[in-house]
Amino acid sequence: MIKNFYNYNWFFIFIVSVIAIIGFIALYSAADANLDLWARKQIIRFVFGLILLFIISVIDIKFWYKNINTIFFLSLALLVSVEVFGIFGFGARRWIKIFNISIQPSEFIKITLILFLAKYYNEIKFEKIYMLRNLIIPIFAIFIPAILVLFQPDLGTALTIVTLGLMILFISGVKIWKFVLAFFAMLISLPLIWKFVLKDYQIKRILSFINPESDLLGSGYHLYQSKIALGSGGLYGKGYLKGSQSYLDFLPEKQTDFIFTLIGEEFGFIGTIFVLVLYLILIMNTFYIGFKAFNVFSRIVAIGVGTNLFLYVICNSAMVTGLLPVVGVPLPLISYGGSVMISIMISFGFLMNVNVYQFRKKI
Amino acid sequence: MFLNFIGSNKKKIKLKLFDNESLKQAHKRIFFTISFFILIYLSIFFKLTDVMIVSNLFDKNQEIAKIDDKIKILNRGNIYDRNGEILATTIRSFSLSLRPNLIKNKKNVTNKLVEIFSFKKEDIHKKIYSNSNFIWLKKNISPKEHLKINNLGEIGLQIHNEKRRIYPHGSITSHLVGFTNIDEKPMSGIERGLNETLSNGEDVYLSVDLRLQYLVTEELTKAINKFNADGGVSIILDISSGQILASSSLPNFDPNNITLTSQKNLFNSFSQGVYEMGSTFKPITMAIGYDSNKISDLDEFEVNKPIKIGKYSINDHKPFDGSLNIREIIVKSSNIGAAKVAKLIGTETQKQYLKKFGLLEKQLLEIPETGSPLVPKPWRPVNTMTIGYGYGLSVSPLQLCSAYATLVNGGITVKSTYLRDNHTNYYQRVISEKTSIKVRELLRAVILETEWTGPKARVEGYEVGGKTGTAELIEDSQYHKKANLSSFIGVFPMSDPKYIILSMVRNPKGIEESYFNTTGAWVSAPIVSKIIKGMVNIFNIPPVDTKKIYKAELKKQKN
Repeated sequence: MIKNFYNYNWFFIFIVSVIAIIGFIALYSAADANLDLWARKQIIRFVFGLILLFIISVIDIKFWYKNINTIFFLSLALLVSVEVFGIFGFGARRWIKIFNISIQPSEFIKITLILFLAKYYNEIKFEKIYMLRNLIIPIFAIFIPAILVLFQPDLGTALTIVTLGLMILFISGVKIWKFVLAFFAMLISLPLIWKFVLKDYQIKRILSFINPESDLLGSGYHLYQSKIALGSGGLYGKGYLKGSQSYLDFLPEKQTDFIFTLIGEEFGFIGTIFVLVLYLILIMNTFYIGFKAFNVFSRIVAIGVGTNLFLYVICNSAMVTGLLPVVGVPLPLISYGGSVMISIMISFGFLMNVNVYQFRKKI
Repeated sequence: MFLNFIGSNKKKIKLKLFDNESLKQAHKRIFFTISFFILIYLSIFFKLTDVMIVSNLFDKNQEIAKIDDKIKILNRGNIYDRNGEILATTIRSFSLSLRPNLIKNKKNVTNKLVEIFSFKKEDIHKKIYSNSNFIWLKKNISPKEHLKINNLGEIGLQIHNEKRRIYPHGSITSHLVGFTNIDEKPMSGIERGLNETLSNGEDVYLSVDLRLQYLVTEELTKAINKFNADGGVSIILDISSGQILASSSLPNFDPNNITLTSQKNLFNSFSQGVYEMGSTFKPITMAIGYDSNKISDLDEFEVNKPIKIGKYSINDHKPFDGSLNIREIIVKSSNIGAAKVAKLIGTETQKQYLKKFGLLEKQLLEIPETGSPLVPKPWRPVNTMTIGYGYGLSVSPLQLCSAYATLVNGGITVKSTYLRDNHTNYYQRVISEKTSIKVRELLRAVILETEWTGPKARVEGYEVGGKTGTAELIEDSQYHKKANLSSFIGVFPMSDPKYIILSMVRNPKGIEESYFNTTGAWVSAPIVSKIIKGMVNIFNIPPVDTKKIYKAELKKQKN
């Protein structure tokens, strides 16, 4: 145990803590200088997440490796059960209540998917990866949860699951032409998705993304207000707690998906770049761990966790700046919400685990 | 610790790097992926720079420009009379409306509204939780309140910018000032004619004296009501500068509430309408005759029988015996006499002079509503003769005033204008000073020697000159025997002419008081007389005591 902590990547934990603290500060401001509304709960969640991280990281990697398939199918079952037991929220059945904590199975499935694929490719000989039949299980593992999430409906998360899975396949060594083929297949199926899969509100969001000013009262509203607030921050921002709240007051999700906007308004361009650079350090770190890993499992887990984090950060910042449509992706560690906080901390727990046990050639 | 970590493992990593195909390919792809991620990251940085820095600078400049534009449009120039009375101005007002269904945080908005406007909380509560789509909250909110609402950024609260062009004197100045439509697009009058100046935010000072404008409108209105007439025109023109001091056309309209106005009321009769003026043209004929040396004081013209040219026949209202000299033709207003003088003058000379008087071309004014004269084509000898007594050539009332200014001011043209500070006048001699003095005498004689006109136009203690005109109105291109255009054009004071005062009444009906006469003498001369009396009061002009002057001259001779 003590030896494990000696091998610990404390730098990573430090950066994670800094980002989380920025999150508390932002939530305190978002609640109009109120600790009780969001920040207190978020601190408790972070501490809880930190404990989970340590527990996961020090448990022998062999234990996890043995039980990965069970964990994956359990989380998949949890996702399916959302359709049955799920409670309605924001028109989407994303939540399930366990021990009085609302959790989003769609967040957990990402981590178990990473672990599942990592184990799968760890057990396949490199020479056999090119075989088409060896692609069947990964494809199902990726698309079954993605489609389930899509029908919740949660387009943003469904897309991140697919992207995350494909990224893992890419790292694992699946031939490039298969990706190219998949890309064109997707392009062809896009009009069908548009017509039969996407909900009206999703189409509206995508259309409003193309021209947000055309529909200021409806879907373009979030984006427009967000852009105004960001722009009002300028280079240095208005100062902490000095954000006018004027624009954000009327963003219904200012404490969740649009928290980045608040940071931009109060801490300016400098503040947003600082936060993004902190995330980038974390992402680079995961890739570094993956790069020097001695076994395929560790490598894929590290890069999977990094990609997962990257997708969260990029989707959220691209959304609030108007590079992507409003898809409802939170900013990990900062946005208010239990599921993402816990799931991202669990993913970091596995990252730390492979970091601790990285020099094992075989698991 | 991180650096230590890297250092301690460096050797091991190097040893294991690229030791087999799988690792080699994986490392390649990791490199590729991380480069791709960094590229996407950079695009986010770039977008943030755009949204937070670049667009900010750009937007601010654009916003300032927008505000500037707004101010410019809002501050459309005012229109003043010559004494600085406001005739047209723009008032901006902001009103607040509520769209309850768009408000998400109703409690918060309610509190803020109560805080800003000190509304009753219950009222706002009721409105904000109502099912309606749109409710007016407050009209005419203050700039401070406006700013506070802006800062709320609540899209369910809308501020409506309302700017209105206000005409404080309404219908009194309607035809000359004109009006703008709801989008501040100028529709008529000075508003339209000087739109470029006004829309650049410059104020305009008109030559019009509001007191005189009220005076002429009031007197004209009284006469029109009295004679149950269709409409009328009244003008005061400054002879020396060509400035229009008052111009009124009835019926008129309320420029503040244009929607209820009928098209007929929008027609400006003093410069847009052209009419056959009748006898008021005769002094012009005489001036041309004198100036072209075709007639002299002692010339007499036989007027005892009508002139017949083909199917036309020129008659006098009441046939005269024998012949009349020039002075008598004017005083008795003989059509036959004037026609004979015109014949003597000849077509070419008449045309030339009328052109110099500016009666054959459209008058250029600061308002766009100016009518083109109806000039006979071809100009036959019969036209020459009828024009001699005011038929066959239609001009606008304002053109007639301008021509009269030339007649009595010593014989030079003066460009009519609506601008107080317009001194770039263009002078051209039309008739000699000697002719001008002769015309003055004729116009004075009309007042002193006529049986009806004189007493009606006279103003005790003041020298007034003038000429009546009673033209038959054309309706459906036929002369209307019973409908007259009764006019009187006065000059005042006669010894040193300063003002032309014109009054025209369209289709007056006979009343008992005027023995059922609807002529210029009965209808319009009294209007001009009253206007002059009003002017005397307004300008505080002392009466001319002819006896005193006479005594002073005697004293001078004695000394």
